[in-house]
Formats: sequence, C-alpha cells, structure tokens
Amino acid sequence: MKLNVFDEIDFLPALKAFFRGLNVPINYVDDKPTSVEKILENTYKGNESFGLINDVYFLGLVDDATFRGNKSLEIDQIKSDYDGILIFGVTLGNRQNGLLPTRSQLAEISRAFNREFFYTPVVVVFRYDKYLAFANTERLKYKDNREGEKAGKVTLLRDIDIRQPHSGHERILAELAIHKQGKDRVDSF
Amino acid sequence: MSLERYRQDLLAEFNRDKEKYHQMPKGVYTGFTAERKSSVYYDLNDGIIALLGYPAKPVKKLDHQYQVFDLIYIDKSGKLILKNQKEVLDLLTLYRDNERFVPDAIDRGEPVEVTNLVNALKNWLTSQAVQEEEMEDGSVKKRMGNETIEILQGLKRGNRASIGRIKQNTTVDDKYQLNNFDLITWFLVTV
Repeated sequence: MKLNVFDEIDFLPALKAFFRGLNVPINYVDDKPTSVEKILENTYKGNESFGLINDVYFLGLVDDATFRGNKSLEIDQIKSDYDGILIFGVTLGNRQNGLLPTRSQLAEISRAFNREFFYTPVVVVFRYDKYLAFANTERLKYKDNREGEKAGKVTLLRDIDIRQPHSGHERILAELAIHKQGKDRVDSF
Repeated sequence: MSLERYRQDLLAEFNRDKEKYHQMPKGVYTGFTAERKSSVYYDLNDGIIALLGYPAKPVKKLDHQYQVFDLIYIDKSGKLILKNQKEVLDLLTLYRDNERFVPDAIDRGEPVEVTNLVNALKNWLTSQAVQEEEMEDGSVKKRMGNETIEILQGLKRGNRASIGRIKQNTTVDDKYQLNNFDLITWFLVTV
C-alpha cells in the first residue's frame, strides 16, 4: 500500500488513486473543493473542531452498480434509504502549537457529515500535516420510525503516517482491498 | 413544483398549428421588451432566456432523447437572473403577448453581438462546473460549482435525481462544455 502518492500529488487525485488501488469503484462528480459551511449547512458548529477544516472534497458514491460495472437501478426503483456510500475527503489544519487533531475532533466532524446526509452513509478521509485518518460512522435506525438514520459510534483509523506508515496501519489498509477474482471475489458494496 | 399550468398553455398553442412547430428547426430565437410590471418583483436585466438540452444530439441520430433540459434566464455576463425554471416560465407567461423585438444587430448576425451571447452562455456553463473565490493573498481558488452543490443538497434530502446524476459518472468539468449542450431555443430579453 503506497501512501506517498498523497505527498506527491493533490489530495483528491491521490484519494482517487488510493481507492483505485483498493479496487473500490467510485462514481465521480467533481474534483474541486468547497467550504465546510456549504456542505454542513445544518450541522456546522463554530467550534475548534470545525475551525480546523480547510477544504472539503466530494470524492463520490460507491454502490452495487459501480462494483459490477453495469447500469445502476432505474431512479424510480431506488428507495430513499439508498444502498450506497458517500466518500468525502477533508483537509485539516493543525491545532495550536502544531498539535494534531484529536480523536474526538475527527469523530465530531465525521458524525456531522453522517447527520447531514442522513439517507446515505458517509466515510470521511482526513488529511492533516503528513497524516491520514479514515472515519466510518455507525448508523442506526431511529426508534420512532423517522426517515433516514441517526449517526452512532465512530470508528477511526488515524495518524497514518504518509511517508512512513506503521506496519499495523499498512496491514489494516491492505485488508480493505477488494478481491476482484477467486473465491473471495466481492461484487457488491 | 407543478408545471401543469404551463404544460396546458403549451399544448393549446401546439394544437393550434402542429405542422408549423414540427417543422421548426432547433436554435430558433425571438425576443421581447420586458417593460416594468407591478407583478414582477425581481430586477430584470438585458439577457437571454435559453432552453438547453443535454446531452447534445449526435449528428446522425434520429431518435435522440435529452436527459436534462435547462431553462435559464441569464444576463450578458452569464449570471442567473431568475433562480429556477418556474420563475422563467412565469416571466414568459407574463410577457407572452408582447410583440417580437430583437435588436437589429442580432437579427443581422453581427459577429460581435453574437459572440457576446455565446460568451454569456459559456460563462453560465462554467459557473455550473466551477466557482472562483478570491483569497486573502489575492490568489484565485477554484471551488465546486453550482451543480455539485445542488447534487449534494439533493443527497441530503434523499433526492433521486441527485443520485441519478452521480450515477452518470461524468464529472462536471466534462459535462459543462459548450459542445455537450444543444441550444434548442432562445429569447432575447431587452429591458
């Protein structure tokens, strides 16, 4: 798993290359970033966590059809709670005195994305200093049958050194790779 | 947002002289003078109302169907004057009995005037794909354009059209090229 691509090219092309390396097919829309206020209209808070965010990139959508390389469901056959995952890339600045973002700060941002997009799960990939972090948020049904899902526990893989990744991090990332052939072949998201 | 009212008007007009409308080529244009009316609460400017079809019809394809129609009213710099197609249809309904008025230079096809209109359309297309923001140090940073922002807002509401757009797997930069759109018809608005 080569992460030094994040040091060599811009964040979004590097993210694309990274997910290509994992054999994760993604529908792309835009390479340009936007501000966090425009994305998190309802969940943005003016606190230190959100103040760390520089840019937000929308990498794209992963769904079954992208895996199979064929046509997606017709639009009128899609249910509102859509079977897919949105992937965002977020670049962060450091805290005061050059400290790295904390676990709770990364979790707060990741949870905000999942609250904002409550129909579709969101995976957030953070880039800060020379590190990466991956955040996946557990999503639960509302008890009162409300539409959408609520954001729960956040699972983080953080402080992954781009230049010298820890072998444990490397192993975990390698395990994310999708097998395209053989008995362990994956053909759905 | 129901467009049924406009659909009925269109059908009535169409049924009056079907043959004429069938034979009409793409790109036909007209225009009108938009005098101030009390029922118009927004500022009108000189500009174009354009009906664009995407993707453009390939030359030899007879049964082409557009996936998306954009009905826009933009000023000469390509900035949107009205925010959605319902407002544009309202405006057209309001002025539909006005006499045709198109400045002579446009009717004569003077290159400078036509180029200005083409540039207005190009600027609008670009704004759909990219926005520019001036940074504190004076540099210009490219930001997501209107379409991606609208797609993301649609995803928050579980909007199926937004999901459908992502599934096309076409980036906004690839989509918003002048050659990818057909200018089906256009109105020149003079204020």
